[in-house]
Amino acid sequence: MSAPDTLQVPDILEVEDLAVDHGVGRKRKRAVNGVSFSIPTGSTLGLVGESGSGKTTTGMAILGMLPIASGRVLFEGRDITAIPRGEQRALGARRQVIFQDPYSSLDPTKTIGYTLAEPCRIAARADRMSAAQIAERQAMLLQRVGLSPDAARRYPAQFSGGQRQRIAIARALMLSPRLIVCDEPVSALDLSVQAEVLNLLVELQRDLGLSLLFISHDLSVVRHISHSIVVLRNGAVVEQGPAGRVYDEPADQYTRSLLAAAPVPDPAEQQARRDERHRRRMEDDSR
Amino acid sequence: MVRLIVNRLLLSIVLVVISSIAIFFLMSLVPGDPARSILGAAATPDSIERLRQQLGLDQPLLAQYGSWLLGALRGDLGESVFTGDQVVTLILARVPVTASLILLSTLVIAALGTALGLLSAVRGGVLGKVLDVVSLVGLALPSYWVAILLVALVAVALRIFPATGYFAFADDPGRWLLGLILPVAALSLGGVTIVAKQMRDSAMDVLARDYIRVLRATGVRESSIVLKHVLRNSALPSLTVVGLTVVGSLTGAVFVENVFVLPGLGTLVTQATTSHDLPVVLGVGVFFTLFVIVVNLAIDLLYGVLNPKVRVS
Repeated sequence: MSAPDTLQVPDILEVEDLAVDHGVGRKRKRAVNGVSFSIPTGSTLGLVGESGSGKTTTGMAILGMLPIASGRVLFEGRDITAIPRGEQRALGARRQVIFQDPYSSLDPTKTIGYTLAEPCRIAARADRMSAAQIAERQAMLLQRVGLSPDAARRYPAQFSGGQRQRIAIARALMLSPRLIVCDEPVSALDLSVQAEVLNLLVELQRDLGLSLLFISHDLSVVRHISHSIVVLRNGAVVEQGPAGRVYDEPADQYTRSLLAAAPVPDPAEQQARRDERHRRRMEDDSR
Repeated sequence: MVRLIVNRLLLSIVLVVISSIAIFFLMSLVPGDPARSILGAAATPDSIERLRQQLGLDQPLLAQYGSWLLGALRGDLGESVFTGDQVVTLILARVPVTASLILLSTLVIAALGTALGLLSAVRGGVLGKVLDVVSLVGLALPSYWVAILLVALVAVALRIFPATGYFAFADDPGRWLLGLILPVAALSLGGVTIVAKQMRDSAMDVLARDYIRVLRATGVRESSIVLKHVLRNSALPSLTVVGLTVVGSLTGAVFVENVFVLPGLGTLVTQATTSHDLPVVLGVGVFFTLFVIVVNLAIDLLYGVLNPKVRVS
């Protein structure tokens, strides 16, 4: 009788009433307050908002890199703050991260091969990969992200920003994670390279059943990749829902202004939007 | 790399010539002359003049310098005006003392400075703030003053280590080390604080990098992050500073050797300067110049080892 329930795949990540503080003592400031959302397994959630809205802070709390002030983060149904220290590492393997700046995300003194292999060495002894297995997986993933396998012998300085970001993606995939937190992964790249990297992420998600938390200030990028969207402002959720709905019928005023602020590649449309922004600002002023 | 070494060696000849010219003409400006020093107060003007002729001091300055340079380029640095010993022999006899002093203090500076800087960057808090203040103080205190203070406190008042004296390593390694502890402490204090400060600043910079955050998020052990990534990446700027302090400790060694009465190149060159023993001063000057060139070359080569970017291009 419990058949329908057990067949249903649980959400990979559930965030319930999350609050995160920055600073300590008197300088303590709430950066994220009462944020709730969930990511169904195999889907992408876009987290958008302007700088300082708490996007990255939310991501870091989910990765366990910032203490949670209140609320719960459930990863694969388990509260991450309640997981004992010993198991935290295993958690690190199933939950990976890709950062914005491709120049700062790879150690310049280590070969690509070393950087890719490093996460594998922390796995528990029982399921640790052998050197041959690691090399094989390296070559496979480098090829998968569109680089030649002999990239493993080279250093980060020998790669472009887009290539480095591909390497960062390969590194995130080394341990076969279930969830990847992508913190502005394409914001530092050229527009054409952005599209390549985004498409790569979409393909990888489809092929590997990955779940993504995609953090960005760029709504056009988020729309391209997300199934659902959460809009943050000043650390709180102002709107959330399926990507199409949030884009086409934004319920909140702030979402509408965010959408209007994004440039579009059509001069007439861009002009109309600019006029619309201008009109709105006048309205606000006269109020 | 071979070209780098060859270039540096060619450059070293030019540098030795320039520094010897500077020493030669500066020494000629110092009042008094060796003939007067050798013969003492009872000398007659006649005997002084005779000795000056013997020593070649009546020749024009340029001629004197020229004949010295010709000899030096053939490896002959002349002999001491006083003892008549070969300058090369004099220098070689004293090199082990100065070399021990500088080698040990460089090791102390590199090891202690790196460890303190790394520790304060990782642990932060009080140690970091203390280091900020102490590094300024360490910079401000001249090594000869620290040396005198150490002699007064540790050697004379507390009687823990000997105040003076040097034993060759080959004769008695234990006493060799014991006698060098205070000189090395005096000589390395400034360097340790500068290197620690540099290390702390660059390590904090590295700790904020995304690759460190990725490793932390993945669950890599903090000790492994610090030793494999932070240390290696922040070692580059610190290496430059270590190189500078090694070169600077040459000057420090001159003072420190005098305070602790160590029979090294520093005491040799001060004695030679006060007694106008020009060939010895020039010889030590040439030796110091070569030392600086070798240290800089070593630092550049180490840079290539530590930094793949340098190696690639």
